[in-house]
Amino acid sequence: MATVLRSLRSLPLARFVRQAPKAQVQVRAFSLSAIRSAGHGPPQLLGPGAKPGTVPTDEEQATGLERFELLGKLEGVDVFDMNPIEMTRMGTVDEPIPIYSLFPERHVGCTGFPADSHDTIWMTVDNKLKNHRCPECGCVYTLNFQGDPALLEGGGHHH
Amino acid sequence: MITRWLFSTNAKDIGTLYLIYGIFTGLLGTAFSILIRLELSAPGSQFLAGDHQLFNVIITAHGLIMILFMVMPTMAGFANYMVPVLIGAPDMAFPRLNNVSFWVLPPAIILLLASAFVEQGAGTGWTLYVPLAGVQSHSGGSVDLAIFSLHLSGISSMLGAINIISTIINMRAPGMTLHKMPLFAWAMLLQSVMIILAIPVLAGAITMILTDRNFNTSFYDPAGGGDPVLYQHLFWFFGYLFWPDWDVNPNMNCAVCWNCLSLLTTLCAGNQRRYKSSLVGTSETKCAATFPKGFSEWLAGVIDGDGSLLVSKQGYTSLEITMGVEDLPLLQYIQSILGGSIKLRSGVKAYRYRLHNMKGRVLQLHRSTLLYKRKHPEVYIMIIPGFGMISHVISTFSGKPVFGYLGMVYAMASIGILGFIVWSHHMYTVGLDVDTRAYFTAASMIIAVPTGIKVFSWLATCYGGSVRFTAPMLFALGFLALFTIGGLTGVVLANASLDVAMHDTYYVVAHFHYVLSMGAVFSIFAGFYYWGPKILGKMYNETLAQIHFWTLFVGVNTTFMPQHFLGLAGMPRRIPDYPDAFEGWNYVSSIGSIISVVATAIFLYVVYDMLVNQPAAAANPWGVPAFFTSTPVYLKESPSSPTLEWTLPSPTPYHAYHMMPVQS
Ligand code: HEM
Ligand SMILES: [Cu+2]
Ligand SMILES: [Zn+2]
Repeated sequence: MATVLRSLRSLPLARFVRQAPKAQVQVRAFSLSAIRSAGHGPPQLLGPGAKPGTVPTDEEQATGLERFELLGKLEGVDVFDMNPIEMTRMGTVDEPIPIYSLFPERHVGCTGFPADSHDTIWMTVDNKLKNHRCPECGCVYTLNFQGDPALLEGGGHHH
Repeated sequence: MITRWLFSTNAKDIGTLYLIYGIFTGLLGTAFSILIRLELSAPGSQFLAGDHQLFNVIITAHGLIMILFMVMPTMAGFANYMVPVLIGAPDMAFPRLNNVSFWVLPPAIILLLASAFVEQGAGTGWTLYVPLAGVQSHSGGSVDLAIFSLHLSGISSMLGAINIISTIINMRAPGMTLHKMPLFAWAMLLQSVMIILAIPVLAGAITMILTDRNFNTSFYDPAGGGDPVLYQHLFWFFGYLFWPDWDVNPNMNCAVCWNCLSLLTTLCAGNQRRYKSSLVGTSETKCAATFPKGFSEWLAGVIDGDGSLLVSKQGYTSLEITMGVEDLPLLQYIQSILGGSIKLRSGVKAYRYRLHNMKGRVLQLHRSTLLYKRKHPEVYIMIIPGFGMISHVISTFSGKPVFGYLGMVYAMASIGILGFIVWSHHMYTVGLDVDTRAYFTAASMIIAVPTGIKVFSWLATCYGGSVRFTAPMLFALGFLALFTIGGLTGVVLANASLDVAMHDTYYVVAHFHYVLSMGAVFSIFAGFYYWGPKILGKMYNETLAQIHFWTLFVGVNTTFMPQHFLGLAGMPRRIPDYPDAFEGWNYVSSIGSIISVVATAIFLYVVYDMLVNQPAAAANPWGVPAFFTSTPVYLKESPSSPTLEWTLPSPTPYHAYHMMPVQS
């Protein structure tokens, strides 16, 4: 697993995770794969476990999503992007701010440029319109869809 | 069906269950309140056939149900449904725990209702004060059942609070810092912290009643070194031992308010020691001898907690003191001051002194001493979620962000902190010393400052906005006006010097119904009409809803405004009968309660109509184009709003947020 991660370090993460399930029966989105490896069924990522009589480290015993995140960290990949939108500029019609998403829509909270210029306004940035404008400050966002193309046709809801 | 609801781990389903439960218990509590008002609609015995214990059971059930089983679960319902949605989380942090939090509530209310069928029922008042809740006054299992019921509801609140805190701390959408979090989420976070600090104290306090009743402990019984006032301190908060008056004569803080007997004789108890008494050297006489403070306090020390105050089945009270034969002079001395009779009980070589309900003295003594109140933070636990909802509603229907967001957050936080240091303002008449009362007066009045910050910020939110008078907004504005009146009478009561007169009168009843029936309940209705379309996916009928508002508004004001007058005129609370002089306003008050019942019937019809006749709700039924947005563009775009729930379809999808929301 670690080697797979390492080889894919420079690639967008989504492509990597879509590859793993691809080997299985059905193509499936990242978040769903993640959910599967988390709760239901045996964990898909297993560590070596601790030697008898020793206290295991996280690296030895973590499984599933936690192991995924941990291995990612070891490789310098932040697998769950928990960062705010980085407002380095105002989004314009020509150069909207791209919103990374594995689904055809994502909810985005604008606070203007520079960040915190106005109270949060939430919008739904989807693939139906190219540009989405904050009604407060006019900042433009667009969907940067990286998910399974099948989602675009099916209207977005499958389990 | 069973797997969907009984085993549910989905915050939205559990939230819905809480709300249904709240409607059910709300109707139950309303039924009890009508019984109370019917009995009090005129002097004399009206509907309860003179069964005063039954009256006490009804007021106890009314108070406990409305506070612990209606307001708290309803707030928890809105929290379960809306908090994850508002912060962009897929569910609560601990979904199975969430299931447990809800499903201990039905057994809790069953236990409470069952307690009414055991022996005489629990006629203790919702505060469960000892010694009235002790085994001498309430033998049998009913108080024990009521205590178990409170245990369960406490567990529910604790688990729910843990869940809410974990959810809010860990599961906010990327970019949503605490200072960008919606105010309702803040309110629930603060409320949960308060629950975690306050509920265990209540649980401990009532558990000690339980062991006092059943296992011969004497936490609250001076005969074994305990103190009934300890219960009041615990009930109204936690820190008795840390309080500066901890070292004064515990019997001075006894549960008996002798001022009411006007028995402040200057006779020093020490003078009575000329009799050779077998009591010398026991805790009681030691106190009397060491603290020669006058007859009342001495007597309080002698009788306190000995089960001397008895309540008959009919609710009549008598004072009984039994002492060894050698102590006859003591009894005679008491008799010379109080009246009453002494009888030799030859079998046990003792004399029994007995004072029956003479000229209402003991009734008054009993009322003013044995019935009291509870921990103060709870009252803010009930209102803070309401504050959160009101902020959302007022901001939405004024078309402006809430004025002074951070001020609102810090006001709620300081109310939460201050709420924990004012508990003894419920106890001004137990014999606290003057410095203590001065402190609690000052501290209580300070709470009015953050409360004022909130009220003025809501007004400033409306000011200059384009206000839309929808049903939720009407309830919010009603809240604003009437909660302020309740806060005002609260500041009046916070003055120890005034409260010795007002305590346990109808003025207090008027005060807390203005903050509860019109504060908490109005905020719940505001929340229901605001979020109902989001939760049920159907609009409500605006005309009917506004009729509901105005009927309720007239009803509660007619009910509770006259209670101020009754209280100021001296009518005590928790009594099944009253002098004829109080007839007029009591009648008005009872009429008001009938109006409120009509309002409740209208509300039930609104819900029915909503589910059956009304059109589906849009994703954001309250949305209007922002100032700079052209209507065609607005119609083309999916909805935008200051909080996340309105960007989702109505009803909210079972699983919202495939992709975590993100903000800058
Ligand atoms: C400015 C804020 C407030 C102040 C200064 C205040 C003060 C007081 C005082 C001094 C009493 C005791 C009166 C007596 O028993 O003689 C009292 C009783 C009460 N208050 Fe408040 N209060 C305030 C706000 C609230 C709020 C927000 C609530 C609930 C939402 C509330 C609910 C109650 C209840 C239920 C009682 C009666 C408890 C009982 O004896 O059964 N109060 N208040
Ligand atoms: Cu209080
Ligand atoms: Zn903006």
